[in-house]
Amino acid sequence: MIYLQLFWAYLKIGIFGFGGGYAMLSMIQFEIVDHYGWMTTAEFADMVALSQMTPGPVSINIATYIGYTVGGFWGSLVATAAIVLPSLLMLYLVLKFLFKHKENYIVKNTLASMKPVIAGLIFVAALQLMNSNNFIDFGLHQNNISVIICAVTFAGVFWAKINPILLILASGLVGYLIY
Amino acid sequence: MRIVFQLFLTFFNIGAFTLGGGYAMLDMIEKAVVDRRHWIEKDEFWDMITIVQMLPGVFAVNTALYTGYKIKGIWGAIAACLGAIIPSIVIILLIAVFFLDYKENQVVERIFKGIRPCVVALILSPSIKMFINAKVNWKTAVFPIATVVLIYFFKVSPVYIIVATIIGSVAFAFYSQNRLNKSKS
Repeated sequence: MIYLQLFWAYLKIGIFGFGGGYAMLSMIQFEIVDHYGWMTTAEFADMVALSQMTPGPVSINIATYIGYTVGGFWGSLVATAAIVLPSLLMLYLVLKFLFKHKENYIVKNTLASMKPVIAGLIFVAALQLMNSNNFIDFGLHQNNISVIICAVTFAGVFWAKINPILLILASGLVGYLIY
Repeated sequence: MRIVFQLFLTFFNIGAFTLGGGYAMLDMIEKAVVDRRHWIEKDEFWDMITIVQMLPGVFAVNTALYTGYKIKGIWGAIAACLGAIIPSIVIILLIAVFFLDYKENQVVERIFKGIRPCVVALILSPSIKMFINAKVNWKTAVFPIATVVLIYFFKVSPVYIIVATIIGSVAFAFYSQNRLNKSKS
């Protein structure tokens, strides 16, 4: 039963996962954290960090990790297969249709006008992680180190274009020294 | 057959040693299939990538599938795809087994208390970049705001929002194409 749920959840993510890995995070969160309650938001954040730091496609890393936590070894294979399967099945369709019509006005405009929604999807993924699970010392009379880590990381990745892996390692070090 | 196996090995290498996900892998894939193996022309590769970027699903998997297909048909696609994902599966399984055992460990817990707010910022950054890239203005701001409100406050599944967006976008594209044609004639 759990394999079936895992397969169905990840099949939807594979079919509707427009806009890349970060946009997919909101879908994954909805299924795994909100809908099935297989993970807490803190566990989810840990997993995203681990998946960023390990080689390979981040979304595949996440699928394998969630699959394993929920359903062990077979769970990891089920989740990973389910996210890849729609891409494989769509191969012929896309080659026949999209590649022949790549200058098509409809195709181009449809994808361009999806962008604002995708921006919203990614933003929600970040917003849903902003809670006391992940910001443990947020408050009026607290030292708010977690808020500082978040702000510095944002500046580092957004403006200074520092490698995210370095930022994760640095934040881990700060956490180890302070908490 | 030899090329199918080489495709598998090429993508296995890329999957095992590239940090940073799909876009970081793109560079490595180009070097391998265009510069080193000469399986595919540079222009052909980048033409393909512009379309692959639009597809749903995992970008790196799609890139492997279409590159593999161009080079050696359906078996090439499957070999490249398996090559790209098998290292991930193996590495993550090892980490998950280890991490789930050490999650309660004091040192690990302290490290991750620092990492969690960092992850929030790492997701926040691409969302702001997407806002800029999509040229969101006062008129189009209603779409991301509605998305956020529906998912965050009303717990609507992102799947419904994506389906509605596709339908709306296709309809709008047809509508504006019609208007364009009329104004021409």
